[in-house]
Amino acid sequence: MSQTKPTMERWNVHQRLQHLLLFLSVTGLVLTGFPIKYHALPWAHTVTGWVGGFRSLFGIHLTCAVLLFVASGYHLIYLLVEGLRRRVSWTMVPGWKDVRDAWHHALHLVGLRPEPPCFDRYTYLEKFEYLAVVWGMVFMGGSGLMLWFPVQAANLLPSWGLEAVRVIHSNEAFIAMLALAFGHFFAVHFHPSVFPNNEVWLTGRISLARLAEEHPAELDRLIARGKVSTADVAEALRHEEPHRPLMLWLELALYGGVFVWLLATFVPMLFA
Amino acid sequence: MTQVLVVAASVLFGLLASPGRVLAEGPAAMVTPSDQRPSTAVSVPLPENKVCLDCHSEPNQVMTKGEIQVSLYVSPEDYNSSSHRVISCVACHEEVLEQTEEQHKSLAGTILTGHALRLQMSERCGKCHAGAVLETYRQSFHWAELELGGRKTAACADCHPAHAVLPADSPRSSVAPANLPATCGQQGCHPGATPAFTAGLVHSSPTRQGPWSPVRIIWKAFIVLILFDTLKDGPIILFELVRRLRRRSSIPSLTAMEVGSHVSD
Repeated sequence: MSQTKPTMERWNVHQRLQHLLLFLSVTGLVLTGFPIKYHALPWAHTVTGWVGGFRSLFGIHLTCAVLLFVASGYHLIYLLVEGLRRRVSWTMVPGWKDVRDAWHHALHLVGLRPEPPCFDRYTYLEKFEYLAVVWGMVFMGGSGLMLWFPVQAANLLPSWGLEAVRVIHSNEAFIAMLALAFGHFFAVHFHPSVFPNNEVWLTGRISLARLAEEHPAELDRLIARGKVSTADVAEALRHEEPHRPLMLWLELALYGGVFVWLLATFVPMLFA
Repeated sequence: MTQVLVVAASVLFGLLASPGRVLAEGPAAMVTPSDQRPSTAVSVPLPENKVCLDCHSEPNQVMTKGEIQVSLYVSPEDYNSSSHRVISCVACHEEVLEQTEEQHKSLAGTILTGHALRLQMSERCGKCHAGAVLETYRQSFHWAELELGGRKTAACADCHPAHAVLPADSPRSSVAPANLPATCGQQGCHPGATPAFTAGLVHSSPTRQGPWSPVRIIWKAFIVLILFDTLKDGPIILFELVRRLRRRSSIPSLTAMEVGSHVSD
């Protein structure tokens, strides 16, 4: 009966390109960096073999690092140009609403508040992720550059500096991987309402139904400005999301297992 | 709240924790001289090594393997004044014990060269040099690269030449503080290495350092960040999944309520 699901643009072509560059470079960095971090484990040797040896492994790592710097530069220039045209969006900047939303969301998740928080264009979790990328870029990019040029870096650092830089690079790498594979992948791939893929990063478009569920405050504003018709929203909300109990149980087992493993691994390390 | 969770989780899972230990960006300390130097009562050159040095003291002696030529020369002066003068050549070159004299002289193609030799010999150093010195090297980028097949990296003997090895407090040692810039800068490894660069510890790792050393504090801070991410994302994901399972299973009773309300109308 209905043609296509009503959608609207969420990310423009620059934002999608920036995400694509970030995705490609970070994926390459993780795939070629973790075999070095875990060099004593058999799979590290397998992965090194796939790319044809250590020389290519490390060459890809450095190439992806340059690509990541390009992605960061692109983003900064984009922000600057948008700022000069007075079109820059401040929707990513955290505020008190995000603190209130986080508390509200926690209460909602444990069942103490029935209605979910009224999220705007970016939720507190998405803002946290964005800031985590900025933080990660400073720490991974900075420590990576210092390890790339250790003699020059040593002249700027105390005698324990390079050792500290290596600890930072290796552990922040784990944090970045965790934030992506655990938090981000759930949000954009394994969350039951987006499984198997949130297509914003490819098409730039979000369905009105998802907008209504995940960003109701933004949708309200769009309706008020006449950019979205209430009829379209009503139509979109008639499509109900399929219920997949088996998938939910499988995900619960998988994420529960990973959660327990992470605690069992890193809590003892805290007291080591 | 987070602290309570951390403590509770550590009590619950601490005993199960060993499988993840290898993940530690870890541990090893500043190396003390007693870690580095296997003790020995003898201090004069070992007489039996003369048999080997009779031939291998010839400076032009080379072996051809495939397309490469490998020098087989060992300087008797260097070796007999090195810390290793008291150990037998075959303690490290153990395969020689299994060769007949014919095989040894024909070189039967069994002697490793290049990367394979550096990897093999770096493992053999651990026969005597156990403890922190080995543990810290095994956690270094140098070893990671060597182990994964990289060539442009430091095997043990690249910094500590086995046939002329001397303790760091000997002025002629390759790892004496004054000689480190030259040692690190050799063969284009770290060109322009400065004393500031070589002042850093190579045989070191956070868990072996004192509790208030900067490197250890930074390491712990990042473990806290890893746990923060775990405790932020884990419960959000798990509660979201549980909420969805429960919401669906409660739908029939909602419908029943609706039906009931219609009936009472």
